[in-house]
Amino acid sequence: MKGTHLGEFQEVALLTILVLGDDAYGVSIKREINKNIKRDISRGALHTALTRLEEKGLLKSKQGEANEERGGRPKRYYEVTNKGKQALHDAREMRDTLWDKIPSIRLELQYA
Amino acid sequence: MPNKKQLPPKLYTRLFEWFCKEEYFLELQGDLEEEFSENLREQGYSIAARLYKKEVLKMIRPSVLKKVKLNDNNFSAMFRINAKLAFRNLLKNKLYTFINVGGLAISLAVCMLILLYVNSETSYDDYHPNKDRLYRVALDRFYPDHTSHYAVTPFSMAEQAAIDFPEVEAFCRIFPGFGINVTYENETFLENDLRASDKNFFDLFGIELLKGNKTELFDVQNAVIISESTAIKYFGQDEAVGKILKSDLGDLIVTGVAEDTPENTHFKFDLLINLELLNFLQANFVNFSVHNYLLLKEGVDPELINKKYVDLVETYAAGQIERNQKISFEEFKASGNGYNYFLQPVTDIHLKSQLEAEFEPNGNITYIYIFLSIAVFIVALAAVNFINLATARSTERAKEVGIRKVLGSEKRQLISQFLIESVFVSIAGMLIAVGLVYLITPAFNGFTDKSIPLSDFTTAPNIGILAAFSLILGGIAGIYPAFVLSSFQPVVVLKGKMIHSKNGAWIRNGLVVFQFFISIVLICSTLIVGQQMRYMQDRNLGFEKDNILVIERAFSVPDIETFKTEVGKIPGVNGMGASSAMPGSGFYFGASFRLQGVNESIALNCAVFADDFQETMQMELIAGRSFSKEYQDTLALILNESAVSALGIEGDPVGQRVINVQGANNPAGDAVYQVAGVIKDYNYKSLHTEITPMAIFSDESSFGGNVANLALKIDQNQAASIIESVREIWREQAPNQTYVYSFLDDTLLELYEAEKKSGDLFLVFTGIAIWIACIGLFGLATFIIGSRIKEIGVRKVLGATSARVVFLLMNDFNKLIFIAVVLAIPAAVWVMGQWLESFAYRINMMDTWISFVIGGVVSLAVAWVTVSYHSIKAAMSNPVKNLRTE
Repeated sequence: MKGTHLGEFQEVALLTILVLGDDAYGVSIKREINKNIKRDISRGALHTALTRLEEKGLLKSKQGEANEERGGRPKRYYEVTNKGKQALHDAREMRDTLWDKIPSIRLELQYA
Repeated sequence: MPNKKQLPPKLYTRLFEWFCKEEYFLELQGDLEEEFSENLREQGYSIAARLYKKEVLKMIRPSVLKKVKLNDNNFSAMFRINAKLAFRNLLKNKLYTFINVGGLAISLAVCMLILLYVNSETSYDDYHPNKDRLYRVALDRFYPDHTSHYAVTPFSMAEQAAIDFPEVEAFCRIFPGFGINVTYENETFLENDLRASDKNFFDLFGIELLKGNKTELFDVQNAVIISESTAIKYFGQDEAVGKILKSDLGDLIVTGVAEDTPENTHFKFDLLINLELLNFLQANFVNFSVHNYLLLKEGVDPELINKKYVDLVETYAAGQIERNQKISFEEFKASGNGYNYFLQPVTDIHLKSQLEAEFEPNGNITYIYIFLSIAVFIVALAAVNFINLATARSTERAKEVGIRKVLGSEKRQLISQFLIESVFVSIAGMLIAVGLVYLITPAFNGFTDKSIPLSDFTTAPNIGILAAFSLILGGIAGIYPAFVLSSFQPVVVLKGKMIHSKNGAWIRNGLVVFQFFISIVLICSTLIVGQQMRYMQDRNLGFEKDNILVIERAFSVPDIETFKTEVGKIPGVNGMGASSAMPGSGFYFGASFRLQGVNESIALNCAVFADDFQETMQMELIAGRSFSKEYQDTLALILNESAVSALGIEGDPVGQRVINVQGANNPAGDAVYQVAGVIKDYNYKSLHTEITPMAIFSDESSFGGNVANLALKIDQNQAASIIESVREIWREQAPNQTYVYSFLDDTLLELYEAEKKSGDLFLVFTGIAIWIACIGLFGLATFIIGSRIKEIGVRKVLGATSARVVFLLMNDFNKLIFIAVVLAIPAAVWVMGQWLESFAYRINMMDTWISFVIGGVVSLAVAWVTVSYHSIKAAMSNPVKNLRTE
């Protein structure tokens, strides 16, 4: 269980990479996340998450091209592995199961 | 601005490269740079750079940081254990820790305060655009018997240079101004910070114009630009530009509002008027009236201009001088007169220029050097204490080290433990020091009359420097004890033999000598500063300075005679007299004189006395009479002794005819005066300058209109009521004028304010230095006595008395202190000699011998008290206890 457990942020990162498809590298992932979850995450924090995910085998990465804007430094592209996709499915499934179990009345927002 | 503004901050890139794991660096740095260039495009450099810095700092996290490389994989475990051990050790020895951390914190705080102070002093006039090309024209004026140095120079000196010298790009003149009354809507203020300048003031000086059009500021002759706070004072939140202020100079129309002059400027202004409004300023080359500034073209050596000024004087001033003096310029020069104009970089004015007629008293570069060395010494003392205390504790910790070695601790581990301990202490000291600085700064600002904002200093690089400094200090201070302690032979220490005190004895002795050397130099210096201050206060200045109340701007009263009669009726007023200049800070105009029948004329400082002034001030009359109602004094003159000899008067001076040569002061032509009396030389300027020849006109003479200061000799006990009574009379007779009064002795003290403050600072520093030296000594005594405890035991067993043992122990320290005294005396003599140089009237260094005696005795006494604590404890203890271990 421990090996595939996803933190909230890690889940967001994986999903974002899938959304971006072939264009998932540091800057674009960060930009997309900041856009979607309205939270200003730093590149450092993202790096930590990506490293963890790669260590767990949920992500794989490959070195990409360099360009002038980056001071001639290469990009690193990320891709979600099958294991990663499985982990996302599992996480969602677990949530759905729990969601289904909640009696609908308890989900009514209270405005008292 | 090409490349630099398009690259991310280099320092942070380096920092990042330094801490980032190599395998990630390229990728992450690429990301950061990509984001940076995007931000640069969209939001500009400063925002992009700020975001970049933030991102770099946020990269400091475990997944990014390099693993610290060590052969020993257990390093982090070792670090943790050592840190814990160090912490426990520090807690166990609370006294030592307290002394060490406290000493370090205080000395670092002092050091930081000094650096803040030095920084604010050295940043004067740094904000002008082209400050490296902006100069003030200053003058060495040679007279036959003395030289004066002036900050004010003739009106045409810069203008003509700008016309004649192609190297000059622009010029600007500033007239230092005078106090005027300014009225707006029935409210009147006395404005003292009034200056007048040429039109290009705001192009040459870096003071920002907040409101108004730069090119049209001085389009009208009666324009005035006011400072922001002045604008608020008169107009509140209302628009200032276009308003009219009524003043002694007529109506002034506000054409601009400037920011308040920055604090670190050699001149300030609240009102800046058009130089053209002051029509008494006219083209001339001999009358010192304005501050002249030149902006040189790129790459021009100011020396070149200095040389060219020689010709300029020859070409333009010589004629005027010849007409005034009635002799040829060659003769004028031959008799010892001369003008040497030179350029001062505007950034040097505050610290390096001590001329007559500066805008305000300047700082002094000597103090900066003295304070900087004190800062270095105090930190050095604290570092020395570190070493001493840690070494001292080695006697107590030798067993611990022995046991750890036997149990298999490596030397490296021990060294790291001691280093960590000392770095702990230094970091704690630094943190407390920062807190102290934070607390002390407001008081320090009040004391030094500055407003150093702390926020200027809490920048990332400064914090980095502090952190690095405390690490390095901790490291350096820890190295010596670390290596000494870790090199103990376990077998030897465990057997109970303490380390020999001979080990590194010369280092420790050297440190003691060093500490006392510094303390003694400081003690002696403080005492000498005190002696000089007392000397100046007690010196007979040649006039009564106590119990003199000065009513300034007395000319504002329409009918001065009625005013004087009324004031004279106030009980407690024992006499009064008016003068154009009160001794000390008064202004003395210059005029040329020659003895009748002599061709050569010389310039004298001049003042105007009304009847009774000489008597009121109790200035001594050597010959003749003073001005008085009984005589017609229109053409009577009083000279001081120096003037009598400067004019070459032989025989009885009274009745001699002296000619006031036609010149700027009396354009009408030569006027013949008769010497009515001779006054004993009195210190009419500050004691920084010597008494120079002086001529005194009567207020009945053609110079008499402006006897601004009315001096009242009063009964000190009734001072407060007298001030109030005069205020009443003033209000009746001059309702629209500001009543300004001062006490002469206060005014004179202000002349030596800088010296007094540095004296007080010296005192504080000395206290701190002595305290730190004592701590060091305390630690050292612990060590030395600890290592001789057996010897003491043996001596006592063999019959030595406790007193004898104490004497023996003290003697070691006496020798060291003696050496320190011998070294300290020449150092203090040299430093204080430099300081005393700045006074024309100073104590003789030989007379200060008592300071050295006191310095030596005080340090010896302090050492004895400190050492005797341990000595007596050791000597009184039961020898059996100390000897039993063997």
